[in-house]
Amino acid sequence: MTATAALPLALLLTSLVPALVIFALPEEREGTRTTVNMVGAIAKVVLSGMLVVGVLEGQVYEWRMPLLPGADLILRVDSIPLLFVSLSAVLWLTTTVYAIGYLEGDAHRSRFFGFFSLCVTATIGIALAGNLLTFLLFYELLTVATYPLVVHRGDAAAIAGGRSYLLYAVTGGAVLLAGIVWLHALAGPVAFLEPGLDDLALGQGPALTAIFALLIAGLAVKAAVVPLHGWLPQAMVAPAPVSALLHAVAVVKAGAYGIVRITYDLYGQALATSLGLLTPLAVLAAITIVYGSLRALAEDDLKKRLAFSTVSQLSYIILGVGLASVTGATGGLAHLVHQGIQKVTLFYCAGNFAKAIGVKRVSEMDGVGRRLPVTTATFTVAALGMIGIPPTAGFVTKWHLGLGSLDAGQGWVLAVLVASSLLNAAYFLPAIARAWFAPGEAPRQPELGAERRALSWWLLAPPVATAASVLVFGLLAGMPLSPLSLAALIAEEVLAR
Amino acid sequence: MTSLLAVVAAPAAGAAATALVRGRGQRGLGLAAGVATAVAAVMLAWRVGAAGEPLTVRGTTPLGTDLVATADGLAVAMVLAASAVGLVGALFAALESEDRPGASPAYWPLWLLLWTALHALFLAGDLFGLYLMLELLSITGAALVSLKGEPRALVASARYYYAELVASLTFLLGLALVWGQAGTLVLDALPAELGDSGAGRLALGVLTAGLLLKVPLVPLHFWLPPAHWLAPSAVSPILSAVVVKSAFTVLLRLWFVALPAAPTAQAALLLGVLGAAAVVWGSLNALRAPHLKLLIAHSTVAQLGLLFLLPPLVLAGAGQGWTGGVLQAVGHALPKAALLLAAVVLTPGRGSDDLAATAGAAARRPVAVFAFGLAAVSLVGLPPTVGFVAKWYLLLASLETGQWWWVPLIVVGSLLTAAYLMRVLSRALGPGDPAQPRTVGPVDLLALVLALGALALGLWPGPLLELLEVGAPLPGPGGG
Repeated sequence: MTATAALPLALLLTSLVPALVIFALPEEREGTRTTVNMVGAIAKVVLSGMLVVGVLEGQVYEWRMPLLPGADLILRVDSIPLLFVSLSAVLWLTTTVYAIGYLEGDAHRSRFFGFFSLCVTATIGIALAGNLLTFLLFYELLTVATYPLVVHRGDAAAIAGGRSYLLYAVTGGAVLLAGIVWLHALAGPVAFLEPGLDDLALGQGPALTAIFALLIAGLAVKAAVVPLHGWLPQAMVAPAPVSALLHAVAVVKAGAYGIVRITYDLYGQALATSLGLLTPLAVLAAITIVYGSLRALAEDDLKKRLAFSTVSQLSYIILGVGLASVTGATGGLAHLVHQGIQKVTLFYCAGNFAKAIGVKRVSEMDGVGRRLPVTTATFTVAALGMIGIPPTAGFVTKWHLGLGSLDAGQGWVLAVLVASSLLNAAYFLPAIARAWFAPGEAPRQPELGAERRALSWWLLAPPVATAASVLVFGLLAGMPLSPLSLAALIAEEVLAR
Repeated sequence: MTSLLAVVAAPAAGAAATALVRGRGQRGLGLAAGVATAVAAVMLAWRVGAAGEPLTVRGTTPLGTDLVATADGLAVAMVLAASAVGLVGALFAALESEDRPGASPAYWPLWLLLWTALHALFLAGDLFGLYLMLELLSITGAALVSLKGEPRALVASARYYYAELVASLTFLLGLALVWGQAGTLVLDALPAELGDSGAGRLALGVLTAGLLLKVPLVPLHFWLPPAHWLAPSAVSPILSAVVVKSAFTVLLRLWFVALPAAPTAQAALLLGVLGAAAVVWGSLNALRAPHLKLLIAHSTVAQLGLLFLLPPLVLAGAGQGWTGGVLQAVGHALPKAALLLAAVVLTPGRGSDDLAATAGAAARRPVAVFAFGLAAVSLVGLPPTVGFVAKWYLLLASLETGQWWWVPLIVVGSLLTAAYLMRVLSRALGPGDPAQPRTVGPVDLLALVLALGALALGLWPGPLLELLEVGAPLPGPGGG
C-alpha cells in the first residue's frame, strides 16, 4: 500500500481502533482509556495536517476496497473534504479533552468514549467518502453511533430525545438510500468528481431533479433544515460534550457537508444550475435561517437557544451553495469551519455554566461573568462571531455571503442576512449583557455534585483554544492556510468545472 | 460427494448416538456431532464455491424411488445458515443449567434430527425427499416447542403441529398431481411442457398453498407467534432464523427450477402483495407486543414477508432480485438468532419476558445489549451489514423491473423495524435496578458472535454473492 492510499485509511483508523480498544477496556481503567483517546486524537490531527500539505501540493489520496460488485468503498481526499477533515480532527481533540473533564466520575464512561470515537470515525468516513455508497455507509454509522450518546443519561427525557433523534435520522437515511438506489439504477455506480451525470441530463432531467430532491431531503434531516429540524432541540438532553460534537462537527455538519458534496462534486455547479436546483435550495436555506433565529429568540433554556441557533447557522452553508457565485460559495465553505469553532465554544461554555454553577437558562445568567470570567469571555467571543461582528470568523462568513449574493444577482439574500444578524444580536446580546453587567445572584445548585466545584483545565482549555481560533480566523482571514483562503481556493476550482 | 453426504450424515449419526446415551456423555456427543456438521457444511461450501457449479448426487432408495441431492448456491448458503445457528444453539443448550431444556434427555436427539432434516431439505432434488423432510421438520419442531412441558407451550406446540399437518397434506396432494402427470418426482426431470399446462399450474398452486402455510405467509401466520414465543430459549433461534425459511426454499425450487414455465405474473404479484401485507401487519403487531420474545416472533412474520418480493422480481427477469431475496433469507438468520439469544439475558428472572423487565439492561448486560443493537442494525437494513446488502439488491431489482412500488414498502418496512426494535433498546438504555451487578456471560458472547457475523457478511459480501450465483436461475451481480 502506498502512502497516498494509507493516509486516508490511517485517518479513519485513528478513531476506529481507539473505539474498539475502549469498548474492550473495563470501566475502571480510566488512565488507559484517556491515553488511548488522546493518542488517537492527536495522531488524527497530525495526519490531517499532513493531508493539508499534501493536497495543496496537488497530491490525491485514495484508498479503495471492494464492497459490492461494481461498487467500491472509496476513501479519497480532494479539495472539499480537506476542510471537513481538518475541522473534525481538531475539534475531536478539543472535545475529547473537554469530555474527559466533563464526565469525570460519571457512570458508563467506557460506553460513552467508545461510541464517541465511533461517532468521529463515522464523521471522518463521511468527509472522505469518494462515492455515494461509502457516504451512506458512514452516514448511517453516524446515526447509530450517536444514539447511545444522546441517551447517555438514561432518564426519561434522554430516552424520548433519543427516540425522536433516531426516528428522524433513520427516516432521513431511508430517503437518502432511495435516492442513491434510484441514481444507481439510472446511471450505474457514480463516484464523486467523476463526470457521468451530464450525459443523462438530456433525456433524464426530471429524474435527476427528483433524485436531487430525495438526496437533499435525506441530508436535510441531519442538517436540521426547516421543517425537518424537530429532533435537534430535543436531542439537547445529551451531555454537553455530545451537544458540542453534534452541533459543530458530527451530525448536523455531516448533513450540510453532504449537500455541499452532492451539489458540487456529484451534480456539479453547471448541471445543478441548468436543472434549476440551486435557487430552491437557497430559498429553503433562507427560510431556515430566519425561522431558526426567531425560535431561538423565544427559548430561555440556554442549550435550546443554542440548538435553534444551530438550525439557523447551518443553513448559511447551504445558502452559500445555493448562490451560484464564487464569493458566495467561499462564504458557505468557510462557514463549515467557522460555524464549527463558534458553536463548539458556545456548547463548552453552556456545559461549564451548568456544571460549575448550575446555570442552565439565559434568565439565570445574571453576573456569571464575575463568577466564571474565562468561560464567559470565550462565550462572548463566540456569540459575537455568531452575530457576525468584526473581527470574528462569523463576520468573514457573512461578508462573503453578502457580496456573493450581489454577485449572483440575488439581492434579496442581503435582506435575509441583515434580518438574521439582527435576530442573532437580539438573542445573544441580552445573554452577554446579563452575564457581565447584571448584579449576580447567589450560587445555584450545581448540576452534578452537591457543592460548587472549580472548573478544571480540562474544561477551560478547550473553549479558550476554540474562542482564540474564532478571533484568529477572523483577523488573519486573508493569510494562506486560513479557512477562508482554503475555501476561496476550493470555490474557484469547483465553480470553474 | 462425501462432503455433500456428510452434512446430512453427521447430524443424523449424532441424533442416533445421543438417543442412546444420557448425561454428560450425551452432551459431549451432541456437541461433537454439531461441530462435525458445521465443519462438513463449510467444506461443502468450499467445494461448491471452488467448482462454480452445482454438485449433484443421484441414487435409488431401498424402496426403489429416485433420490437426488443438489448442492447449488441456494442450498449451500441455507446449509451454512442452518449450521451457524445450529452450532450456536447447541453451544447455548450445553451451557444451560440443569433445569433448562438443554438438560432434557430428549433435547439432543430432537435438535440433531431437526438439523438433519433442514440440511436434507435444502439439498433435496426430488419432491418425495422434500415431502419427507418437511414432515420430519414439523414433527421435531413441534416436539422441541413442547420440550418444557409448560401448558401454554403445549397448546402452542399442538397448534403448530396441526398447521404443519394440514400444510403437509396439501403438499402431498400437489405431489400426487405431479406424479400423475409426469410419472416422476425428480425436479430436474420434470417435462418442460408440464409447467405450461393447466394441470402443471394446478399442481404448483396446491404445492404453493401448502408451503405458504408452512412458511407462514400472512394471512396463514396465526400459528407462528405463540409457538415461537413460548418455545424454549435454546429452540427459538433455529425456528425463527432457519426453519421458517425451509418452506420458502422449497417454493423457490418449485417456482424457478422445477416448473419455471408455470408461474404467472399475477400469481407472483399476489405473493408480493401478501408479502407486503405481512411486512406491515407483522410490524404493527410487534409495535404492540407486550413481551420481548413475542415482539421478536411478530417481527419474524414481517421479515418473512420481505422474502416474497423475490417471486415478482425474478419473474420479471431481475437477477438482482434473486440475489437480494436469497440473501435476505440467508442473512436474516444471523441477526435474528442473535436477537433471540440476547433476549434470554435481557429479561432476568425465569418465566417472564415482559418487555418492562428489559429496563436498564444496558447497565446489567452491556455486551448482550450491544449484540442486540448490532443485530437490530442489520434487521433494519443499515450498512455495513448483510441486511443492507439484501435490501440494496431488492431495491435495485424493483427499479430495474419498473416495479417501483416495492421501494416505499421496503423503506417503510425498515422504519417500522427500527421503531419496534427501539422499544426494546430504549428500555434497555433507560433506568433500571442499580442493585443488579454488571455481567458478561457466555450467552452474551454467543449473541455477539452471531451479530458480528451479520456485520462481517455486510463488509465482505463478495464470497457469499459469488456462491449464490451457482445454479441461480438468472445471472446476478456476483457473477461478473
